[in-house]
Amino acid sequence: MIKYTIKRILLMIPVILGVTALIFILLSLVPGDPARLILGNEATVEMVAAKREELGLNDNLIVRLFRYIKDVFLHFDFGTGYYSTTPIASEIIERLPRTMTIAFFGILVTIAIGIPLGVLAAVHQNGIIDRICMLISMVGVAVPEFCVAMILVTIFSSRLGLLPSHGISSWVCYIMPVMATSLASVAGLARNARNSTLEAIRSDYVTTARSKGVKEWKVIVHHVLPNSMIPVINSLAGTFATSMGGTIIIENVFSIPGMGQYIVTAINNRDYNIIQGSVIVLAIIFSIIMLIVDLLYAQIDPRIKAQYLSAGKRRKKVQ
Amino acid sequence: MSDTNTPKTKVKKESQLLGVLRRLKKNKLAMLGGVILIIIVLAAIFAPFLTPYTYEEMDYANVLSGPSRQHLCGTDNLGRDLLTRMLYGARYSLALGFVSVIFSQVFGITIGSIVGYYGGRVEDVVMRILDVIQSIPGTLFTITVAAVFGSGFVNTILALGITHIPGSARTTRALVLSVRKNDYLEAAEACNCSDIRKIATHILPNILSYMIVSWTTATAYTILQAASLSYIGLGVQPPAPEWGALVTAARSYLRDYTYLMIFPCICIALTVLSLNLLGDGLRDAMDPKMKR
Repeated sequence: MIKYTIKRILLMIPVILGVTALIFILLSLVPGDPARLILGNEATVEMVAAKREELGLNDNLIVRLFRYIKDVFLHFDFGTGYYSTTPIASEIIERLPRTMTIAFFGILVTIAIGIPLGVLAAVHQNGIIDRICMLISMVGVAVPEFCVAMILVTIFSSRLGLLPSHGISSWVCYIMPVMATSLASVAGLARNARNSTLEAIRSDYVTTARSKGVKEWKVIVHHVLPNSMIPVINSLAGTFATSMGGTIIIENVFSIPGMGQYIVTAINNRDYNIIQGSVIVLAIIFSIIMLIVDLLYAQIDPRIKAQYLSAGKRRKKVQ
Repeated sequence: MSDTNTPKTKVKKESQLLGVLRRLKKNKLAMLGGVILIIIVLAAIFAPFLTPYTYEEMDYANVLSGPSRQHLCGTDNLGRDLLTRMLYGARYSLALGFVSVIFSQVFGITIGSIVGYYGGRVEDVVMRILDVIQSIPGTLFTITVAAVFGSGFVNTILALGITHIPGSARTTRALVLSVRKNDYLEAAEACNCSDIRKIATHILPNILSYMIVSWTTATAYTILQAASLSYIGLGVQPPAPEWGALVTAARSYLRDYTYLMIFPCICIALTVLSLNLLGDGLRDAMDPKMKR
């Protein structure tokens, strides 16, 4: 297990470097000159040229990329935004906890509601509970997160006046963002949980258990759930991605000064340095979460671990 | 398939597709989804005939008036008829969804089938690149690519299309791998078929039905993402009446004119819901295990 863990961690390094390079190259494709953006239209050609030199924009792409990677990973330095002198790193440190709070509680709520809902629906397949659960989850996936957020604001802030519509002055402010982020992922997770539970219910060992006269709830708890939850855990990484993506958009509805708002403001200001840094940080966090889910998954399902360890060998045999 | 042992694969293929369609017809929810989708598509096409207004026509006498006989869904802050704007908006939203999915599939299928068919070093490299892309949360990647391209209709289609290429390539590759060892490919090999012919006439038709399912869900997801992009200032921007842009424009009037937000939301939800229902129905119709 330790060997496997180390291997997975080592495998993460090229992925993170790859993400950094990808985002860097992608954003360097943007037409327009950052130096010109910073200085504005009235700047002279000489001023722009001097600024380009100062920013190191005259070096070729690969040199700049390696310099950027060195700055980010050795000095944790993302540079500054085009229009401010605050280092991006310190902005991110301040904003990231807010985004992660929403995403984290969002996923907790998602798990707490989504999995029981899916299992319940599967156990009562085609019954009234199943129909209702599936209806909720179909509608949940169909409405964009920001619409959900706006509907929540209309109901709880404008009409009922129960919750604050924006800001982060107290923990109450986080209730609606968390609700809004989790709805779409609840729907997705419930469908996953339902499908994998249905698959487990139809398998032979459940028929055997039933034929031995084991009580139905015991069959579900001891035979169905341990098997059906394995694929669900694997899908949690995807759920977290949805949750994180949702948070980035929803923060703007609730004016929460997190990463999402930072990125969106940067997009509207064409401040690509900020976008670059923020996206890279979020992608690294997401890779770490994927790693944790993977390790958890291997811990729970030994088959996967064995499969993963021998994957390299198997592949060579196929070809 | 068993009683008519025809040597021609074409006949067999059609019967399989017809079987799927027959089973799909029995699925009421999927049919409902299909009917709603057709209605929305028709409404988008025939928008000019369904409403007496144009989507930019301002009626200053009826600014922010609620739903009435004159304006079935009310008017916005400039007195523009909301129903009309939604009908024309369907053109934008559907086009965004369908065109960018077609775009991503063309590239995704090409990459996926080549990589899946040939394997080897190229496969390793491509798959590592896809791994890297997929370790960025989907929404975040879409936002980044959209930020590179900027806002606007064509740019948004490109951005959404590009972000979905990795997923499409991965799905295609997995499907190609699943049929690569089949007997009919060995037969094609024996007939000295070229690789392109094998991929185009033997592999792709056999995995087509599975890919259709992923197209419906991808379209639904793309429409949602397009709406979200409009909200954060990318995507299609006002005055174009894309549904996401309509919802976004309503955010200043949430308290007193909720209908401005609710109606476009319902449009998005109905379209996505119908696509998902249709996709689910197709998947169930093709999966003998789920038939029960």
